[in-house]
Amino acid sequence: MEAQRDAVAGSLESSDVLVTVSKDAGSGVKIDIDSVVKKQYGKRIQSVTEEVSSKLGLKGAKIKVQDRGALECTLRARLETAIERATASA
Amino acid sequence: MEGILEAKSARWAKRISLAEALSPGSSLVTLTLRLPAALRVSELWRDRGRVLFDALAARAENAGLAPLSREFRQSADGPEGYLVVPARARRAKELALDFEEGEDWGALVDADIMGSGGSVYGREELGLEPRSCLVCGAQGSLCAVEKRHSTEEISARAEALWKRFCDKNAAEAGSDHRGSAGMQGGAEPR
Repeated sequence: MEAQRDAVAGSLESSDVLVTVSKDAGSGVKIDIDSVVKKQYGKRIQSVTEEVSSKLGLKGAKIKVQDRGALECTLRARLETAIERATASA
Repeated sequence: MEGILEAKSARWAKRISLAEALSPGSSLVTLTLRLPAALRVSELWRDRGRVLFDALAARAENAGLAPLSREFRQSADGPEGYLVVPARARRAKELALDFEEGEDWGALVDADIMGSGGSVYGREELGLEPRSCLVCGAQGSLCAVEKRHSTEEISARAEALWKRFCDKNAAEAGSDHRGSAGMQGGAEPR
């Protein structure tokens, strides 16, 4: 599914994550990660983001992940919501 | 879990809405409890959240930043309070830091700042390190992500901090009776 519009989910509060999905040229998915625990968990955040976007069939999009110490279950939920909002039919 | 995430999203949307309506030179302070969900949604900590919010409002007033508006509510994520103060974001953040770190019980709360237009003004803007864990003093976000402490362990520490907060208020109330200035604004624990 290609991103149809820009969409966000989550927040920049502690223990949460703000996920922004926007349209991007091409058929791939670009991922940009900013996290307060990037040094320790940057690779895990990257792999979870790749896994969720692949599972949902996202294409032609850029995902910005601004993590403020969210649990993995929170990250997954926010990713799913943002991607569904970005790809939903009008 | 879903209800908590929805409540966090609703709070974030409310913060942005309030911040976008700020007049120039004012900022939004949002208070939440820095505790696990199981604790912060409990009736006990819901009440205490209100007391801490009143204490933050009193601190602002004592600092010459009497709130222009205030609102407190309970959500599925626990207590949350909103203050609009007549200060630019940096000054508001200094107020928040004084409340969060001036005394050890400040570790119980997050006091987050948004400036006009919805811009977040956090610790990074002041060049500060991330907040430390209220239990062990390590980076708090790491302890949370790794679930290093049990709810029971955090609860015990939170109770100790709450007792110190109560003791301080009781001492200040005593000095008020003797004619000294003290905390104002109904910060007495219930």
